[in-house]
This record gives sequence, structure tokens and C-alpha cells, in this order.
Amino acid sequence: MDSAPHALPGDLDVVGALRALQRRCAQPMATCLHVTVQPHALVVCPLALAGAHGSVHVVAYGSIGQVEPHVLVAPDPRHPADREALLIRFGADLATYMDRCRAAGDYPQLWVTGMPTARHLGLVAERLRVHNATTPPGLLARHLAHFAARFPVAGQQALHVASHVIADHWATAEPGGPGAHLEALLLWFDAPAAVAGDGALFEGALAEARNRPMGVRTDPLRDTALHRAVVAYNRARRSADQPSQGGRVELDAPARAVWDILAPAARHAYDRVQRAVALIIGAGLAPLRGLDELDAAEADAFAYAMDALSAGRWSGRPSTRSMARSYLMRQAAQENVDAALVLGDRVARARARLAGTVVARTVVAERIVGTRDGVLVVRTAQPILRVRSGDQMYWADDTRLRLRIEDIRPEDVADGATAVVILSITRGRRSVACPSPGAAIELVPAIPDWGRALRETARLSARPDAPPWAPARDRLPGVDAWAPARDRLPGVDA
Amino acid sequence: VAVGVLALRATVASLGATDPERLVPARAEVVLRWRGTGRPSLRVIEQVDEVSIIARHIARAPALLAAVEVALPLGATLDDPDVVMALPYRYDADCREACPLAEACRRQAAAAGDPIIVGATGRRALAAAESSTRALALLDDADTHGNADEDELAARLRAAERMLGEALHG
Repeated sequence: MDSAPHALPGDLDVVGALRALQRRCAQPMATCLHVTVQPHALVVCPLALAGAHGSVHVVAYGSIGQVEPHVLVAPDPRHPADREALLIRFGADLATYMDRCRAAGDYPQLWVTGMPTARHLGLVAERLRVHNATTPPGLLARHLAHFAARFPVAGQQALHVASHVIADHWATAEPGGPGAHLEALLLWFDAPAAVAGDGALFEGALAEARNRPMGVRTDPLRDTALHRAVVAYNRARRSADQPSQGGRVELDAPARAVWDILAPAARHAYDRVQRAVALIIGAGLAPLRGLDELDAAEADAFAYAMDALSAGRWSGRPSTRSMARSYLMRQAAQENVDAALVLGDRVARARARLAGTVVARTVVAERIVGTRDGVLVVRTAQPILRVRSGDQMYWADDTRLRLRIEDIRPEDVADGATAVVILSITRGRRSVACPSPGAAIELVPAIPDWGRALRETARLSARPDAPPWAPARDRLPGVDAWAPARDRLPGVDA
Repeated sequence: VAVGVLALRATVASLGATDPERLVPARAEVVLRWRGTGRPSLRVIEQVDEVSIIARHIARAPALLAAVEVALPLGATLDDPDVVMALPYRYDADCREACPLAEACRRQAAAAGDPIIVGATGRRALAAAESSTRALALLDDADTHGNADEDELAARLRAAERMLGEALHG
């Protein structure tokens, strides 16, 4: 039986995190860039008023590389005039950017700090969509809704979360997922040598970093001061509304006090996203094979959304058919991105070899021990092999070669092999030079099929709205036959 | 399953058996369904890791309770930050979502070299080493030897690092 040590699923990331912890420095975990960074992308950092979900108290935004962001503050976003002043200005700038992208046949891209901010943009869109699309807030709602709609789609390039992109390419000992904190993540790159060289200092710096607002909430330590400033502003506003008072002049100072508290927080978040983008660009990684197709899909999605908006086809309530279409497209996108990652990123492929968690089945890798006419015999030492007879596989080096697993025979031999996999070539036999005996080979379970989503949605369009087997709309079949459950309590009492 | 195995071993031991581990192996017969179908299948699954993790936790529990007792002097109240900081920490990566003490617990966990610092996966994967410091020692020094679990973990981590290096550097 094979006694050689084997890594287990998840061990690659654990080792990466351990090394990061030891060196107090982020460790690379990708061999190619998984995202496109649009040179004209906008960094957007909003903060909400505590307790007013979907509000924008302050927003800092600007292009990639722009040092000084535009900072807009609504002294009290619960007040319609303040709220609309901010939204109209921000909406106009976003509309200009989107129009420019549309004219160039390109697609817009936003970068935000973390997952809460990405969700917040969707919430803002949801709150504003009651406005007519011809009004500035209504138009902003539709523009933001485009990014919110694209966000759940795997491989989308419209809305990037900086903390996720960083965690996707580097290992640190910071918690990932929705709670990932960008400031703390960046400390693993930027800690001064004196801090990185001392465990206690580094932990202290991490704790301090995590207290900085990087989501949509303001700094809890400064919220009391902010609360006082907002109360003072509202008092001044009520006074200014009195005819005897001096109008806007009276409001400038209290509004400025709110600005002084909020603007630095938003500006700091903006700086951190810019730093994250600079790190991603500066990593010098080659783009993932397949990013061009993802860019093209993004441009198509953007053009489709903008055409719908121009033609007044924008609907607040998607139809069943459009929901089914978006489900199909999301599923196809996920499978394509998974396949592209396994093919293009060697670390992702190593993870797939270990676990098969990136894709449904694992990558088969080892040496060819024999070939017959159209048949490959592969011996593998992988401890976990999630494949079965009948599965299709592709040669990772040249995916034109498609094979089908005919048989898997468990082995227990001295050279460490655990299974022999017999595959027949089903496509590419004439166009690809077949690997020879002794060669190392990696077989992947899927390759990206970029046209699949379109084919499936076309097939969906051809289906009738009400298929003959659908139940009547007004009632479920057999409802009349249902009888209420018999009350068993009297029997118990008796 | 692991809890059941340990409970059965304890029962067997209380009945006078001298070798409960041999009598109750860490193995379970689990009913699973065949992939893509509703057809059931009965499979034998090894539960060695799960049983050893639960056993370690149970072994630690009395020590933790004793530590709590020692840390709480007579009349201590939990509104005193010093008392809270003196308590044994319980940190998980999800704590940060809800608990204001998460940061304090994290710092304690980091100081203790708790593997939870590298995430929930890390805690599971490094359970045999019990600390990230020990895991790094096992990873770095081929001459570091521990018990069988630690030796296996060391071999696994080195294999993973080799694989990661090959992937990153071609």
C-alpha cells in the first residue's frame, strides 16, 4: 500500500497562511491575475448613516490612480434636500462615466473596499428605484442596479471587492469571506519592518487596522462626535428655516463639522482601495487565460443593460423567463470560471488535484504507462480520486484532446500508485500529438464553453410561456380534494 | 459518530474491558446515497481524525473549567475588563461578526499560537500540532519528531508546501 505522505484538501491554503503568519507578510497563492483592472475604473467608497440603511452619508470616488477623490457629504441624509444634492452630483458623474464607456464600446468597472460596500450599493439602488428613470436619482438607481445585478455572476468584471481580490491572490492569516477587512489585509503587505519583526507590535497594528471603517459603517469611536455634529446641523437647519434667520449662511459651519468627521474616513477607505489596486497591478501576473472572454461577456451585459434602459425596457419586476435566463447564465458562468481557473492557474489546479472542490471532480495526474490504439492507460497516486467510468476529461496541455474514462482499477503496488485509469480518446486524435508512454499528464474534468450561456438562453427563448404540463394559474391541482387534518386532541382527552 | 465512538468506549471501559480502543474501532458504517440518485449505499468510513479531535476537546474541558475558576476571584464581575481578559479565550473567525470582545480574544489566540488564527480550516488541519508555532516547527525542521499524529501532519504539510512551490514556480 502507498505510504508516501499526501497533502489533504485545504492543506495548500493552510501552508500559505502558516508561512504568512511566520513571516508576517502575505504569500502569493495565484500564478495569474483573475480579474481585469480597467484603466478607467472608478473607486467608490460610501459610508451610510448609522441606522439609516441604504443611505449615503458620504461618498469618496475617483479613477484608478487619482490621488484626490471627489468627496460628497450629505450632512443629514434623512433630509431630502441633503440626500438629493449628494445623489444628483454622484449620479451625474457616474452617468458621465457610463456614457463614456458605452460610447467606447467598453464596460464600466467599480472597485469597493469590501463585501458590505458592494451590498450597500445594491441597497441604495433598491431604495432609489421608486424614482422615475428620467430623474437623476432614478437614473442613478438603474446604473447602480446594473452593478448589483452583475455582482453575483461568477467572473463578472463590473464590481470588484478589493479585499476579495487580494485574498484571492495572496495568503494571509486574516479571516477571508464577507468579513474580510481591507485595512488589515493590506498590513500584511505594508507593515514597516520594525512592526513586522515583532509579533506583539504586529498584532497591535492589526487590531488598530481592524478598527478603521472599511465597510459602510462609520468609526464607532467617533460616532458620538458625529452624532453631536448631525444634531447641531439639524438644529441650525431648523433655525435657518425661520424667516428671521440668515438662511444657508447659518448652515455652513455645522455642515462643515459633519464633513470634517466623515470625509477623512471615506478618503482613507478610498486610499486603501487604490493601494489594493496598485498591489494587484504591481504583482505583474499574467492575465488568466479566458479573461478576454469574460471582458467580452461583461461588455455585452453592459450594452444589453444600457440598451434596455434607453428603450424604456427596464423593469423593476423581472419576468419568470428572465429569472430563469439569469439563473442559467449564472450557472454557466460559474462552471466556465471554475474550468478556466483550473486550466490557467497552477495553484487552482493543485487545489483541484487535492480536493476536487473547485470542480466537481478531481484532476487526474500522473504518468502514462501504456497506449493502445486510441486508448491511454494512466497510473495515478492521488489519494482522492473523484472520477468514475463514463466521465469526460481533457488533456490540460492541449484541451482539443478529449477522453472518456472507460475503467478505473484500484491498485496496491509498491511504486505508490493507487489507481490505474483507462481512457479512450473521443476527440482530437488526429489534431493533437498524443502523449507518449512515460510522459506526465494532467487531465481536467471541464474546459470553458463560452458560448454555452447563449445557446441555453436561446433554447429557453424557444420554449412556450405556458407549457402544456403547467398547472392552471388560478389554483393548484387537487386542492379541493385536500381535507383538513383530523383533530386528534378529542381522542386524547377521552 | 465520533462522540458515539467515545461514549461506547467509555461504556465498554466501565464494564471492565481493558482495551476499549480495540473493541470499539474509530470506524463507522454510514448510509449514504449514490451520487445523483436516491439509492442508498452502506459504506465503512474511518473516523480516526474526528475521534481524536473530540477526545482532545474532552480532555481539555476540565482544565478549562479549572482555569475559569482560578481566573475569577471571589466577588469578580464581568464588567471589569481585567477580569474578562483573565478568562480563557474562545475565538473563532466568525466571532468578529458579532462579538465586541473578538479582537481581544484574537490577540490572546495569537499570543497562544492557536491555529484558529489561520482560519477554521487551519484549526481542523493543524489539530494534531495544537499550535501554529508547533505546526511551523514540524514544517520547518525535518528532525522535529512528535507522536504519530504529529509526524503524519508534518509529512502532509511538507507535501503541501512542495506542491505549492511547484505550482508557484513552475
